Amino acid sequence: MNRRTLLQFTVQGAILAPAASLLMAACSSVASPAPTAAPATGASPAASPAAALNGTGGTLVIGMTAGNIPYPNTPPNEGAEGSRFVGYNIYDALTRLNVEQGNTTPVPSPGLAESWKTASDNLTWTFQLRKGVKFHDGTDFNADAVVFQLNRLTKKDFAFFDPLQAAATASFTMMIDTYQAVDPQSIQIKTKSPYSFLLWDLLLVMIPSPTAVQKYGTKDYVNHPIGTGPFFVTKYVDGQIMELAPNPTYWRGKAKLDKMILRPMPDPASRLAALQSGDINWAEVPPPDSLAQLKTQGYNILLKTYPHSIVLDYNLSKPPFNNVKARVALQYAIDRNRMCNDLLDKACSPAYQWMYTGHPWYDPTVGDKYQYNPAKAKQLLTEAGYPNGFKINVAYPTGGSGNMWPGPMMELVQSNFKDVGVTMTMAPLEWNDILTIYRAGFATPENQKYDAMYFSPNTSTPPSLLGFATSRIQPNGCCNVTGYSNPKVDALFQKAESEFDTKKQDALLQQAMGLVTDDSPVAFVVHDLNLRVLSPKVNGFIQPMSWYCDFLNVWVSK
Amino acid sequence: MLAVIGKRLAMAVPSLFGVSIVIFLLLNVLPGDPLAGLLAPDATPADRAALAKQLGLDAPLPVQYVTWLTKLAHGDLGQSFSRQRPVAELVGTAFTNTLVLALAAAALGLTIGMTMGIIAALRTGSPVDQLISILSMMGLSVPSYWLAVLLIIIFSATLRWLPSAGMHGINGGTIDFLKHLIMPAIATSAVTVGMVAKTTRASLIETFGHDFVLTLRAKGLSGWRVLEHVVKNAAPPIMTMAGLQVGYLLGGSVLVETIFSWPGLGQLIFQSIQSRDLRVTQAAVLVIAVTFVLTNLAVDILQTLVNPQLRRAG
Repeated sequence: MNRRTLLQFTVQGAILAPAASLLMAACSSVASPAPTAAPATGASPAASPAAALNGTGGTLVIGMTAGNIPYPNTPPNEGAEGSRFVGYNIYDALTRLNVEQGNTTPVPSPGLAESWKTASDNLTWTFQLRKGVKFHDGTDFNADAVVFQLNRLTKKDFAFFDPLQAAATASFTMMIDTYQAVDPQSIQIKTKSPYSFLLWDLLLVMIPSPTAVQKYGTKDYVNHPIGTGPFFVTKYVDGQIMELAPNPTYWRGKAKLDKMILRPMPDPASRLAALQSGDINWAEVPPPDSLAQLKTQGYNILLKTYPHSIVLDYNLSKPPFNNVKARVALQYAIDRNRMCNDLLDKACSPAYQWMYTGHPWYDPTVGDKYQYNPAKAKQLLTEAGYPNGFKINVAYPTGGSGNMWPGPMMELVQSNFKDVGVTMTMAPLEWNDILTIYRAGFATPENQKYDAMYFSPNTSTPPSLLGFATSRIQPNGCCNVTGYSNPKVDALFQKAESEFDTKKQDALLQQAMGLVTDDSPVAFVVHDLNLRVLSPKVNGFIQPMSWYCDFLNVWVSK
Repeated sequence: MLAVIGKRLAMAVPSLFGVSIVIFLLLNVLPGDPLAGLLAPDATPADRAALAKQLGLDAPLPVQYVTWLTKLAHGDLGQSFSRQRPVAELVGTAFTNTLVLALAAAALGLTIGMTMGIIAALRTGSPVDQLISILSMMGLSVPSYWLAVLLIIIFSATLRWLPSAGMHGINGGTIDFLKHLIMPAIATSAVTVGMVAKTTRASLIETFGHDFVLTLRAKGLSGWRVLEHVVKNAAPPIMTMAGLQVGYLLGGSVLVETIFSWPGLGQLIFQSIQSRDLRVTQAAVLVIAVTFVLTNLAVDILQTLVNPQLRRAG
């Protein structure tokens, strides 16, 4: 994914503003910032007007943050944005997130599997598949299709084994031991150990049409993608455009739209201009200083809490961050309210834990204790043995979808740290470099030069929490980048993995995240609010508490 | 003439070879990993090693380079891992898109630049000359991305006359395509306008000072006829500059192409470097290098045709 762009802040901040102020007096309605105007919105339920629920048709044109059209494989590339706009529109998986509602954090729900049960050994799962579902090419979806896809992703000697797709799904298939079709409508999957997170992993195992894969072969399949999803591809030009039409026989009902168009627009200022000129009617993450103005122009600004944060991963393998007090001290040094209210115009919420307040894994007993308190930070630094502070080198990405606005946000953190005596140098890196550090871990010699790293973890699934498990420290696992290790946390994760009662599982994970909050292997910065802006003509969309979206009830008025 | 062309092309081969080695080495010494974006979020080092082996990326660098070169000699540019498409197709499409933009920008830049240069040279020292000098300086010094954003603010976001990005709108068609082309072409051509205007003006003023102009005037030739002779004599530096500009335009503009979401070579190279997609970067840079060599060769041939002195020398 293209979670990256050269120009994000260059254009929008350094260039747009002087350009506007110097030469664009006549066009001030567009260019003039309105910092004092009422902020767009907080974390309000952000659905389109309820009155507009009755309607159908129209063309939805989405300006994505991705630099390219995600290729429509299983899964697509361009990071999670590929799955959001391409993957889940073309394909289904055995389970699906219930993203059609906006009131609760989505969880795995029946998808191509309409029900499932686990055997008493807690290893064997039997999935009852949905009847009558057809792929876009008219072939039947059945247990053989699931087996075919699992072979394609895990069996190296399978004729249609795809090494790239296998690598892209490795962490979602790694707990699967064996699988077999019981009959055309049911499939049995056995895990390597009792593993209740399987339903989360299966969300990312999208099922393509075996006929299409066999017909076009591994190399050419992306040009002929066939799934069972709500839309099918009618046009796909790499680098330019993808057009999708509704699947008339979709098992959840036909989508209301006539057409959906995806366009890659990695530059936020370009997405803003495209929205204002009517080229697109759905813009992902426009520049935050445009929000007040967009609101006055009648656009729908959608913001909602969902599991996705910005953190600083600490290098725990050396001083100063091998000292828990030094880490905790800096939690008190970050002025998160200023970041969200002043810098980002309420496009984020302060983060005091890995999960946001109210999430089942947020620990209320620990609470929001890391409120901004520079005096306390200084005191803790003194107790940690650093009365005069220290120097740190922090890597951050220069762009990338889902990373919010790393440069300006880091500058604020830098100034906050300076106030408590900590000198921070900023090392701007491409997103690919950040990912490389993330995969290798801080402990490797080439990454020892960094004391911390700006990262935007997806915190939506239980397996995503396992980055704090000792077993995930590289090179034995991946990706515990910080090197954090707490036997109590490990034990809680292990219990949660083998706990099949969701409520009990949530309680265990909550307890684990409470311990993580106390140990602070990362600095919590902010929670993202999934900013997107829709034209007032776009109706029926419910902003979910998730990275992913449901387009079934969306329509565009003339 | 054919021998000269053959010699020039043969001389280009070592340069292209050098370019390919430099790009290969640069991309390999850069931090980052071509597999980073291809792996699942929590894929283990073992998963990474397995994929590297399957894709042939675990071989030593010289072996990888020779393999690439051998395939290239057979006309096979390979497959892009990060885009799951043949490299030839990717580079071909991007080059075509850049070609369209470059030709539009060159047509704009050369026409406007030369016209401005000629007018300035004919009105040396006048307010018109001064205005043209200011405009050429602006063309040279205003960054293309700044101009691009400015154009978008005026013509897309405010006036809503032109689309802000992409190559086609919802309905497509030639008119729609031209609408998408106008602003990127203007933003890309600004430097060319400035360079060509300044060179044309300087070369014409210099040529006007030559004795033969006085002779032509003394012989009673009309102003237009004199200008015709002057332009012919002043052409070589202008053509060299124009050739360089066209070569530069054909290389694609990362900034303009990114801002306007124009899927050309510049954007392709930028994205390929970001994803450490060596094969695509290699091929795209080679295409630019070859284009640059060929453009300069074409300019040299044109110069020879226009200037009899060069023909004799050749």
